[in-house]
Amino acid sequence: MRLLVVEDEPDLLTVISQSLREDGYAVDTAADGEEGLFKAQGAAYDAVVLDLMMPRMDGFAVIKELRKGGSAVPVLVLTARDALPDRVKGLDSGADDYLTKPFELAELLARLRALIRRSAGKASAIIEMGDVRVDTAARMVYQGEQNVALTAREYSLVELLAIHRGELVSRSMIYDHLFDEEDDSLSNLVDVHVSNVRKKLGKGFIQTRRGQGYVIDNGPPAADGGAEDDDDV
Amino acid sequence: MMFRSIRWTLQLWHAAILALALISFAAALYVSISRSWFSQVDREIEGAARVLGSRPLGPPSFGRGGRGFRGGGGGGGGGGGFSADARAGNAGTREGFGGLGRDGGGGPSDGGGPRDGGGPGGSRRSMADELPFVFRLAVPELEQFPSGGPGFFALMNDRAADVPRDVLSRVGQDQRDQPYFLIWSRDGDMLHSSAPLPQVQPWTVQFSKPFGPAVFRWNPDDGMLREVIVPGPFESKVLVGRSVARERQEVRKLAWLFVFVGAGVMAIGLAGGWLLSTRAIRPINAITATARTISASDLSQRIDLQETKSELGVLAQTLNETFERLDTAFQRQVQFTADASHELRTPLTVIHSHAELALSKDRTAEEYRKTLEACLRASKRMKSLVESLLVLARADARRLELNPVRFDLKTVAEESVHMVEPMAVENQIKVESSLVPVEITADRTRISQLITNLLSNAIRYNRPGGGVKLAVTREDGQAIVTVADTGVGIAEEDQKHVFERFFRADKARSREAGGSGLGLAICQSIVEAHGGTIAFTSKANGGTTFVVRLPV
Repeated sequence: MRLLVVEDEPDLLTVISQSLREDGYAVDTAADGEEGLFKAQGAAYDAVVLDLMMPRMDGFAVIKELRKGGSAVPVLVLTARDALPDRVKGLDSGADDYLTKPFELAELLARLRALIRRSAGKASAIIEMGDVRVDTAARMVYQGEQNVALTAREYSLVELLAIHRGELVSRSMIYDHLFDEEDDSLSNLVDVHVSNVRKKLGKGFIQTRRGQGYVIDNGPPAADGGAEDDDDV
Repeated sequence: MMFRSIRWTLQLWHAAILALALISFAAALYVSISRSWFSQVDREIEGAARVLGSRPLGPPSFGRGGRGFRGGGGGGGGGGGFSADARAGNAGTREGFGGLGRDGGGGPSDGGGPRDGGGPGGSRRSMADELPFVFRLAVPELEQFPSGGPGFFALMNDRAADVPRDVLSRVGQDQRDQPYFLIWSRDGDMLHSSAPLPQVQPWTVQFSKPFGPAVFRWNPDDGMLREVIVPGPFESKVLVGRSVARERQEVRKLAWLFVFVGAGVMAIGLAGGWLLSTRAIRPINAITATARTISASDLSQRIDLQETKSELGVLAQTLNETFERLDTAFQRQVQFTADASHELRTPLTVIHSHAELALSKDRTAEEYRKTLEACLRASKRMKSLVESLLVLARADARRLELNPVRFDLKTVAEESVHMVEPMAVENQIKVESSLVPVEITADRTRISQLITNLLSNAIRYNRPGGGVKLAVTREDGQAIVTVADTGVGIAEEDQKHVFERFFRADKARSREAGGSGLGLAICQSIVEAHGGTIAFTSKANGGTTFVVRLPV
């Protein structure tokens, strides 16, 4: 999962992006609205964390421009303005969620997970594919009752494919979602991660479409309306 | 409560004034009319008395007498009777009564002609017509009328065709008036009287002249009877009286009429006043209703000026202007609170998030150090912000504590330049100063803060390689601090907002440079607390010059 954080307060930008990275996301940062819009338009992010009060271009303008360009990326707005008109304006201008400063990092993470899930059409925090179960809230993968130990990157790969189950996920898409702008890993690192996941979850868990990408499709369609109805939003 | 309302007050005053006006008007009218009526009565009885007094007293009982009396042609009656006199003289049969008539016994005498005596003949009559009533009696032809009729009043009737009708009718015709007369001799003996005669007290009046002015009285026994006494011939006295019961009754009727009409007018006036006050008060109620719905939370409403005209329109407009100012003030307040909260929340979020992240798992000493550094930066920012807000709040409450001391402004300015030196170097700005010693009495710390603020603004909103000039001079008994920069200047549309709290012409630049947007607002507060002024001139891209004037 790759996120963009747009925040003009450097100390806050640091702490948010570090927290997100520690949670396994690939994180790009922007220090003002213009840069944020530029980056958001240039790359496929799973979600954008956006401060409202920013120099050069405020959050409302960024969202508007972004939506005008046809982007449907989930946007979580961060702001110190908590007056009702501000919240309404934020949501109306195209933001998907809203968080008032000061906030708990845990809440920010939970809201981001929910946003990403919903934007992929999955309402539940738990995605089941055959005997493999992905708990996106706990960031855990189970096979049967067994907890499968994955690295953060491996988990992100499984999560990405699970969210897009049944769909073809290209290697470049995986690369874009797994590595941030500062990551200069080679793209064949994706193949390494895929092979590591196969070792842990079984050879057939991830299928390769030669020359196109990967797909997970071993379960009944729409099996995701799972037992647990998450709602941390 | 109800009676203290303006409407009831108006209504009560209106009623009082209306009542007063009606009563005075009716009273004046009443007095005037009744007086006129009673003086009419007086004129009538006096006229009758004069007529009686002008008669010769020859026959012992007139009214019963045989021949008519002949008028002595003498002295002429009344005023201006000379033509009549002449006539009488010419035509008259001077039969010895001349003496009677000489000095004014009112010469004419009546033929006690009865009603059936008939009117005078045509030609005579026409001549007599030209004469005033009293003198006509002296026309000798009249004497030819047979006497011995029903008496004086019948005689009067006889003349009815010639005399003003109301005189006769008042005295002679209306039986209700109960006219009566009485003639006393010089010695006080009753010579003649009318047949119906009420109790009449003797009345001693001394007439200085035979034809002296009449004297009136109310009959002492019957207040309804008005009497007059005039001198008659041979110092006799003629009293004529009559009842004024009819007039009294009329007057009473008039009074009642006034009461009823007055009550009606009063009722109409009050109803009209009530309607008027209702109409006048309606816009006031509308204003009240609107003003009531306008509260601190919703100052957007305004009074509809279309419904309120004239003075109330002015009032409504004034209120609207007040609401406008309040609205602006409240919005500024709300904006200020939101800005202040925003400015405080951001560093608070930094501290909170850093602490939360640091505690989420074990960290290295280096990571903890970085976290604490970030927290320290944020808390420093909060501290300075809180201090700034406190200064402004105190200035607003006029409680900005000043410790005035005597000091040299030049020294403080030098210190400030020294303080901003590192910042200037960092921004590649050259700070020049031209300072003369100026002793002022002011709060040293605040003035230092003021100059430092202005200098750091001048450095912050400058371009690399630019310059800042600080000057301290003395002019017209004032200390003048001038801070001029070669910076970006202030756009015209921003100039009026420069001293507003949290206003930043260029948010990016000031945030990067660490400004809070309160600096100039604080400068203004400090200057104003010292009784000075602060102003600036600026051109976009042409630099900005701040001029502070402080009392020495």
